[in-house]
Amino acid sequence: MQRIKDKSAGMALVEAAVAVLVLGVIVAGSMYVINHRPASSSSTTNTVTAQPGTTASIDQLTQNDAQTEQQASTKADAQVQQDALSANSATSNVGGAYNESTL
Amino acid sequence: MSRLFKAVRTSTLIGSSFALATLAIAPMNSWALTTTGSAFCTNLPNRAATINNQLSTLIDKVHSAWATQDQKITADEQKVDQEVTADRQAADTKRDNEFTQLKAKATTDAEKQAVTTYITAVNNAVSTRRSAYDSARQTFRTGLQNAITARRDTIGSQISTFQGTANAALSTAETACTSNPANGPTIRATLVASLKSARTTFQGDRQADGKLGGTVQQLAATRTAAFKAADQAFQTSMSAARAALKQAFGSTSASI
Repeated sequence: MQRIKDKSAGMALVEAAVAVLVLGVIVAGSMYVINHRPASSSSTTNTVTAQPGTTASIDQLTQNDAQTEQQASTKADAQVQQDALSANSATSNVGGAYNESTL
Repeated sequence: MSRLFKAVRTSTLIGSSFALATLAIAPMNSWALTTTGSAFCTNLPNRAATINNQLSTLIDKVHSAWATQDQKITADEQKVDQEVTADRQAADTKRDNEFTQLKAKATTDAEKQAVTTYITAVNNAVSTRRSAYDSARQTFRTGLQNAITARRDTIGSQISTFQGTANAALSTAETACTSNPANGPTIRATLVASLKSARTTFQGDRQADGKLGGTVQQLAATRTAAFKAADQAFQTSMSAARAALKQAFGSTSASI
C-alpha cells in the first residue's frame, strides 16, 4: 500500500516537471516571435533604398515626399477637430446663467 | 419614574430629529413660494439685474472663446504649412542630388537631352502635385472656416433668442409686480416657467454643437480623396517621363 502511495507521488512530480517544461517552451516561443516581429510598416521615413541616381530612387524620393506632406495634414486633423469644438463649453455655460427655481 | 423620564427623553429626541430632518429636506422652492408676493416683487429688480449681468458675462466669454479658437486653428494651419515647407525643401535638395548623379550617367547628346527632358518632367509633375495638395488643404481650411462661421451664426442667434426671452420674461414680471405687488406667487410662477422654457430650449440646441467634429472628418476625407487623385496623376506623369528616359538610354537603361 505504501509503495503504491510513493509511486503516485513520483508520477505527480513527473507530471509537474513536464507541465513546467511545456510552459517554458511556450513562453520562449512567444518571446522569440515578439522579438523577431517585422517592424511596423506604418512608419514612413524619408529613406530611399533604391540605388542612387536612378529613376527608381527618384520615384521613391518623390513618393516619400508626397506621403510626408499628406501626413503633415492628417496628423493635425485630431487637433483641428479638438480646436473646432473648443468653444462649446463656453457656449453651454450660457445656459447656466441662472437657476430660475431659486427666484 | 426613571422609565417615564427615559420615555419622555426618547420621544423628545425622536421628535427633534424629525423636525430637523424635515427642515433639511424641505426644498428651497417651497420657501420661495411661501414668501409674500410683495417680497418677491421687492427683490425682483435686483434678481433681474443679476441674471442680466450673468448672461452678459457668459456671452462675453463665448466671444472670447471664439477668438481663442481662431488663434488655435490659425496655429494648427501654420504648423502644417511649416512642416510642408520644410519637407518640400528637404525633398528638393535630395532630388537635385539624384538629378546630378543621373546627369553623370548620360554620355551621348541624346542621353543628355533625355535626362534634361526627364528632369523637367519630374519637376513639373512634382509642382503640379504640390499645387493640387495646396488646393486640397485650402479647400479643407475654407470648408472648416465656413462651417465654424455658420455654427457661430446659429449659436449667436440662439443666444440672442435666449437672452431676449429671459429679458422679456423678467420685464413682464417687473411690470406685473408694479401693477399688482400682492400677486407675487402667481407672477413668480409665470416667470419661473418662462425662464425655464428659455433655458431648456437653449440647452436643447447645444446638442448640435458636436456636429462640427463630423464636419472636420468629412472635410478631411474630401482632402484625402483629392490627395489620392493628385497622386494618381503624378504617377502617370512620372511613369511617362521614366519610359521616355529609359528609351533614350536603350541598352544601358538598366543603369538608370
